[in-house]
Amino acid sequence: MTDVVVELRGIRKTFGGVVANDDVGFTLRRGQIHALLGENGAGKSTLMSVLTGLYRPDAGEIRIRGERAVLRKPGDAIELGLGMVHQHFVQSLRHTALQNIVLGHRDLPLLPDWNALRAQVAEAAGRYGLELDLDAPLHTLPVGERQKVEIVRALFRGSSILVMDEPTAVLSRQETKALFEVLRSFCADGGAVVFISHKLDEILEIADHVTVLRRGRNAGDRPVEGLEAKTLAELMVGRELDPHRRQPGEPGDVIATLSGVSVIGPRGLPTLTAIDMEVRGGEILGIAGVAGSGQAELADLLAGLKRPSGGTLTLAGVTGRSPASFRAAGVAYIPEDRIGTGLAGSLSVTENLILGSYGRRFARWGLLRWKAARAWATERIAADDIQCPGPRARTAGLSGGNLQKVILSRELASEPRLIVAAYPCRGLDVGAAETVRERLLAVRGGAGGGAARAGGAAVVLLSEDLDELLRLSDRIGVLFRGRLLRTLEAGEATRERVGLLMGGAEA
Amino acid sequence: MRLRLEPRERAGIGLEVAVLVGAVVLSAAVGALLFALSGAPPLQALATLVSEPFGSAYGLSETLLKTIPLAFCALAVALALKIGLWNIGAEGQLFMGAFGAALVALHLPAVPGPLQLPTILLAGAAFGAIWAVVPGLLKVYGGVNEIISTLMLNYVAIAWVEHFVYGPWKGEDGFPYTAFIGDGWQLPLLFKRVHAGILVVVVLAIVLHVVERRTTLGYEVRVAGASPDNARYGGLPVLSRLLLVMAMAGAAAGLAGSCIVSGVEHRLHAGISSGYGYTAIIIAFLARKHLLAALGVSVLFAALSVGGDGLQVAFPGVSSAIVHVFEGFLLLAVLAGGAFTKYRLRIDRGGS
Repeated sequence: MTDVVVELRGIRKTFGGVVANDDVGFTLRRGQIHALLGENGAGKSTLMSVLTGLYRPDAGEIRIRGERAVLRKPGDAIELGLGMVHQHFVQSLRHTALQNIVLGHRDLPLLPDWNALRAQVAEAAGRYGLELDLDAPLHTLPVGERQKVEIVRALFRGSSILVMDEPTAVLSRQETKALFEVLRSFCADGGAVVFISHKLDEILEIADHVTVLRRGRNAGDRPVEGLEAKTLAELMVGRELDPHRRQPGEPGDVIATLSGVSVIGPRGLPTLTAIDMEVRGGEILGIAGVAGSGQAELADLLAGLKRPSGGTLTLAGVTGRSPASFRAAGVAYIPEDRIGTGLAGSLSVTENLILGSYGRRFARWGLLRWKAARAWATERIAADDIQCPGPRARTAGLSGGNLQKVILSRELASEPRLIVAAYPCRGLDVGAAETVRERLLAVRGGAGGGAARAGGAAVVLLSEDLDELLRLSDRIGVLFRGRLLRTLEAGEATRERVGLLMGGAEA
Repeated sequence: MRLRLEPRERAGIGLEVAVLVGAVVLSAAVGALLFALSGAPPLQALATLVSEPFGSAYGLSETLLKTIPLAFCALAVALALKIGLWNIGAEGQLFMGAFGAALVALHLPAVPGPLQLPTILLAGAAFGAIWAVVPGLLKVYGGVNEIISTLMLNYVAIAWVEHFVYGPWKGEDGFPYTAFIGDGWQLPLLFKRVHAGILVVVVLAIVLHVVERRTTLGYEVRVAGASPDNARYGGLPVLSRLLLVMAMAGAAAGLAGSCIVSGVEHRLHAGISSGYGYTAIIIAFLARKHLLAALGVSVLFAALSVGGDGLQVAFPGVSSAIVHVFEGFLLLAVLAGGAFTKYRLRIDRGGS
């Protein structure tokens, strides 16, 4: 067919022991916006890096406009009209938009004629309705504008195929709409777009065709017309999602009590004020609030990383004041900051998995029993489906969803009594997020939740996703400017009520 | 044909060694060029650089003798690096160790003979440890940058020793030397001028290496070095580990000082170190903070120093400072060679 602009056949690419792409095929037609959907680590970015010459495939072939192409470096792909817009922009913030756009252009003379270049760039941008202040230094531009710079750069180089890697992750709703307009007019003009995403609604809105990857393989390839979000999600995750509302928990003994707790922030201002709160075993207490309402402090407080400046925090079994004594009393913490706080990226998966429990599990007379530790880590990797080359693999090399799996695996392995989960699903794709939620429900236990042991754990769940909070929580507390405005029972919590409280209105 | 760099999964130990050897060869080539420029026959000069430290019993003993303080200090720097601290203060810790050694040897006559050697070694270790714990405490409780505080304390330690040797401890002949220490306080000689301190440093390196790899303490230090936030989150006693590591580092550098007093000089004066504590920073870096590798790299640097002295004697036109150029280039070459441990060089044949 003449309108096929890109065809990938039987692409295979491995890194160390991990197969990122296995016999993947992909066909892009002129005038189409083609979505590439998959969970984190499904192989989307690898496939596109193969297409844009960043990686060479171990097997398979690339055809561009019917011609077999060998891409040795990104420059080869650019010459064939492929433009990549990365998720994390590769830009020089101190230079202007114009300078960034022409940077690396092949025929740039030593002393460029900036006025002529500005006119050319403005022309390329104007064709698709992209407006841009070309002389503004990039650091003064918001992220949406900086993305335009990337797009204009690709257009200026004469790209007829745009590869957009999760372009809407950083955009507001308005910016997203504007981007979609640009992409549509680009395609109407004979271009083609690969749109990498894991946002189902956006794919249904913008794409003509969708290819789904799962675990490095093709899991579906179909026109978007008539598709439903649920079908897409199932293709991506490979199993049916449970749409039912969770079963209620069975609240047991009080595990943590906060009375009149305050925290003074680094600049002397209170970040938490007079918090009174109780958390029971067998319940999930959701914490809602707009960003910066004191959630981070509350989480650190419950995990023992911060001490209250006023009031008292009582946790069953905690005898000391150090983070270690909180851990010993059965407090687990899934921190917001995964690499850095939750994990040491430069250490191995084993070294990260045994953090917090090595003293109990693998220490004898001050010696660490590495063999046993590695064997245990190997078990955890298999049991919790952590995808990595093995227990000795460097942790920083894992994908986002697998990093969170390592943290969960470690934190839940010690059968904690209180789990503090700060934004545990943030940035994860649908499948990984669902796994996290299921595990939180399982440790809470209660009616219908598989855990058989008497009295489930207490879970304090911080989230910015209201649907997630409403679905999982037995009670929802709303923080506003460091105060706990109200705690609603699951039955009385609705999106509207929680939303109003988050804005500071009493509801 | 094209060359490309591809990221490596993990570099093997063989590769690390190969990079080091390659860097040495490259540095030798640059050294040869420098010799030619200063009018010495390059190959002969290079041969001198190698034969001087290793070619004779005398040269070998000088090399091993210089290795001892370098290796102690390199351990002091590498240990601190493991928990993420820059110990620029090995020089000062060495001076305080030497001071402690002289203090007990000259002013504690009551120590019975068989205990004198352990006492002088422990005294040096203790004084070095104290000198390193001070910046540790400043770091933990005051947030003071340890690079600055350890560096500054070097000058304090040197001035401290100068005060004593020019003042209260000045020798009877009026020179800025203390009196000689008694025979019982002196480390036995094993081979020409090489004293038993070499056994101490080798055993220390092995013990510390095993502690790092096999014990919970070593694991905790590794986690705290990799990510302090992660260590705190995991409930590790980060602050106490930090102080402990600094104490161990200071003790190692302090042992360098007591070995110099007890094994070489047999008295204290202000010129006991030729910058061992600073050279040790380069050594620890080249050894990638690996404790056993630090031992090997120390021998290399000791050999360079001995070779440089030999060069100056053999070829009057050549300054011994040339070996510092050589050392500097070696550091650069190893740093650049680090790219090969992270990336793999792939050769693509054209046309495929």
